[in-house]
Amino acid sequence: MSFDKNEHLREVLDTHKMCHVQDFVNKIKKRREEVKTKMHNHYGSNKYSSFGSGSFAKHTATNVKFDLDLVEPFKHNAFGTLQEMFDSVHDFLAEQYENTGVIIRKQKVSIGISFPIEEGDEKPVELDVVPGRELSDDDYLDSHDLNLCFNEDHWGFKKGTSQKTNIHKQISHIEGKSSERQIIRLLKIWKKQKNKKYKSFVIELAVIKALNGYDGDKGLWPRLKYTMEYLRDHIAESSFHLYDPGNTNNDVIAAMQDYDRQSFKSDMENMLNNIDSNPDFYMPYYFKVNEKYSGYKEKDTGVAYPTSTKRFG
Amino acid sequence: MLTADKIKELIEGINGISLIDDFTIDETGSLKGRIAVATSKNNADLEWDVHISPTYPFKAMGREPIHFQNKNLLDYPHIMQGGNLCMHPAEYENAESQFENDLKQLKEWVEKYYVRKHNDAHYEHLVVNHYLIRKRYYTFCFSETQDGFAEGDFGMVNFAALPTGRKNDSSVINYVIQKFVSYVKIKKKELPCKISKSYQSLNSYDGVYCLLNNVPSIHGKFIVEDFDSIKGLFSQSQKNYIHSFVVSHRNKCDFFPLFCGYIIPGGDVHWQAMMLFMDNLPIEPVRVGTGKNRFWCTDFRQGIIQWAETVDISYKYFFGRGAIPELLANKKILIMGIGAIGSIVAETLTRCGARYLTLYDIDNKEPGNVCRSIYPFYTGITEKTLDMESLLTQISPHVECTSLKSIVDLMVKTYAAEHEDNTALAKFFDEFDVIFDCTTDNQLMRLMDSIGTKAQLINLSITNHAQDLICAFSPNVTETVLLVYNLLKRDAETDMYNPTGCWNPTFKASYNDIECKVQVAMKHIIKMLSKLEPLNSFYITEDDLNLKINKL
Repeated sequence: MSFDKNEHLREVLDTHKMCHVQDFVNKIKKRREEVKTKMHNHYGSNKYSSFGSGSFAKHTATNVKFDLDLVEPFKHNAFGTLQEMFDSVHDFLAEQYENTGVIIRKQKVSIGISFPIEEGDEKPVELDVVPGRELSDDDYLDSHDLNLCFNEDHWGFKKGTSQKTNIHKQISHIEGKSSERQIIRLLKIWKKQKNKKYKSFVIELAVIKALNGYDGDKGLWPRLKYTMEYLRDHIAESSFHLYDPGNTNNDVIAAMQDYDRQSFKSDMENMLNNIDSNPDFYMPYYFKVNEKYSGYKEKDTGVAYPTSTKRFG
Repeated sequence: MLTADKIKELIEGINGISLIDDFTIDETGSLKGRIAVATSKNNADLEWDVHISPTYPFKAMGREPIHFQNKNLLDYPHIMQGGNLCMHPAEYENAESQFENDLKQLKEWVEKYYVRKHNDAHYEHLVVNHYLIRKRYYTFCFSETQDGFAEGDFGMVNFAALPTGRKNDSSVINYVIQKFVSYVKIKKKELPCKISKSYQSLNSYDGVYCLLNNVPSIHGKFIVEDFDSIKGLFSQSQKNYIHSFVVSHRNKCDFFPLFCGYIIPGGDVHWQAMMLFMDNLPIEPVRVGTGKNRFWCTDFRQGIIQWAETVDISYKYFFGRGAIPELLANKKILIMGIGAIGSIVAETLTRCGARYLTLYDIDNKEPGNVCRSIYPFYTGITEKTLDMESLLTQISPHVECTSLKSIVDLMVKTYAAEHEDNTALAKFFDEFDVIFDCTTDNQLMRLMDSIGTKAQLINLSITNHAQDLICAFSPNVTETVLLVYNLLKRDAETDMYNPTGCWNPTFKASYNDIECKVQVAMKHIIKMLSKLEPLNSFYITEDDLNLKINKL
């Protein structure tokens, strides 16, 4: 019997659902509420209501990689500069969690909070707090535009500069697109398993663009294949752009190195060719079921390695 | 074959060239004559003595079969010491066409360099004739130093002996310079040459160096050949230092090299070495001044300089003809398993300019390994890592090659057996940027996956007969290796090599079988690690005519 690609991909998605890690998600949510309350009590009327973002908010999370971010929109007059805003939030959280074992660190546009790992958990609860400032006085409630502070980039060149964005628009861009979200999750699962460094945001925007107007077979594999073919054919082209829905002046593909775009194209090409030639072998290689949550699998009896008489060097 | 008559006839047919003296055959069978090449100036034609060897048009023993000579043109480019034009003509099918084109090239030189006075941008080192010095040839390799030299610098040179070579039935005494020790400003400021520690730690001999105040050249291209012509390029301090060196070393050595440095275009210092023998030193005491101001100082006597051969082996020249990208060459690379594949990987990286290699293997090299790896038989049974370190160091003076003790295997696996979380081992492997695992140790492969080191892991192995090569990049190396071996389904249970008297069968494959696939793999690995090609695991298969690369 031939390999059922749709069924396999369905199993991949099912075994990567967030519901399998609901207890852990609840712990993160509880911590997020804790941080939210601290921020509200400290900054009071200097900011607007915080809200959740990240892959969890976008419904593109998988149980092997997910983010529950907390966006903190500050009023324009709350700080003199964006760097002051960023440093203030960092210093406040560092003070709040001093001597508790919680690690607070400055990241590119956010402050990372890592709580001590609890018994029974595989990893610590981690949260990113993203401070943003409205563009001008009282602008936020209408526009939801925010300026984020670039604390650092790889070379430190952008430290203190700003990036305009609109997280509400980013979230609404993906809202209602459940078909696209399935493909996004599959590619994010592949990215995580193969440790690819492509940005998730690029994958999200690229998949939505690829499937815009798609009216072909609704099966998971036809949609994934169509998306991969689209990316193979376009991602490395200089005319290919992906604009941030939160700031249409920001072409997120422009920040991607040529080498990474060529690598992405090459990845898509190799995957398509190999799956086409031998789906039984390659489909589970590129898109692995999360065995931990695969209820009907036989118990793993161990891996059969090529014996010492097969593999030489 | 060219004859005097034929030459006359050919010259008459070429515009701008005329015959001055008819060609005649000398006692060696060579044709000799004199021609003139018209210049487009008002000046007289340029006259050339022409010497055509009996082998013409064949170039024999690396020598051109025709020479055009004019001793009055030594200041012009491409005119050698004897006044010969240095030319490398294209080759034609017969002597007549060759002669016509040789004359055409002569005319082109006259137009370009004599009439238009063109100067080549490309720098050429001074021409130094390397004669036998007391029945031996001497050579010195030097490389750039960490720090630069001061103006008028001088001091001591430490150099080490390399194995003696042979050319023209005579010995070649080879040395490599280890460091310069400056005495000019701060006493004993060391300027080590950029060569590996292995060469730095060899037994040293002493010599002298002086940075000259100008290039010791005649006509801007030949090195000066007598002390009278060079002594003005030394400062008095330098000459006095040479004397003090002689005094302190008179009973320690029979001879020493005096390195004469000068700045070449681009700012590098180039060194020429003259050989000075204690029993016939070219220096003498000279009395200068008058009255109370009279004192003795050192100067050179008259005499011919005996120049040794020097070669700049700085990284950029040593690997000037081809190397891996600098970014990769500077990475710290660990090669685990230096059997057939690992040894070829190590040698390839070394020859391609890798600077930091660490080797690891638990086995000894034995004679049976030689036929499909790069090990020599000559060194007998010894630890593979020691043999390989020695070999790689011999290949490149720019590779810092070290080995891990074989007990690392025990250490790593003991830790893994006692701990569920192996990530603590990452710290050990994070010292490296790239790790080649050529061990075919499945347990180690799985262990390396679980460690999660920041280093880029590359697992290389082959199937029996080297039918296929599998290259898996981290993460999840084990998964990729399993996938490919299950895909290939090679029958490996039969046709193994069972050494007589040995219980352990091994695979069959020659050096050629293995090396060709490893080199193809390395070509792609190098490009992938240098971000010139997308990084993907791959396997190489072979049909009757081609190697096929299958990317994952």
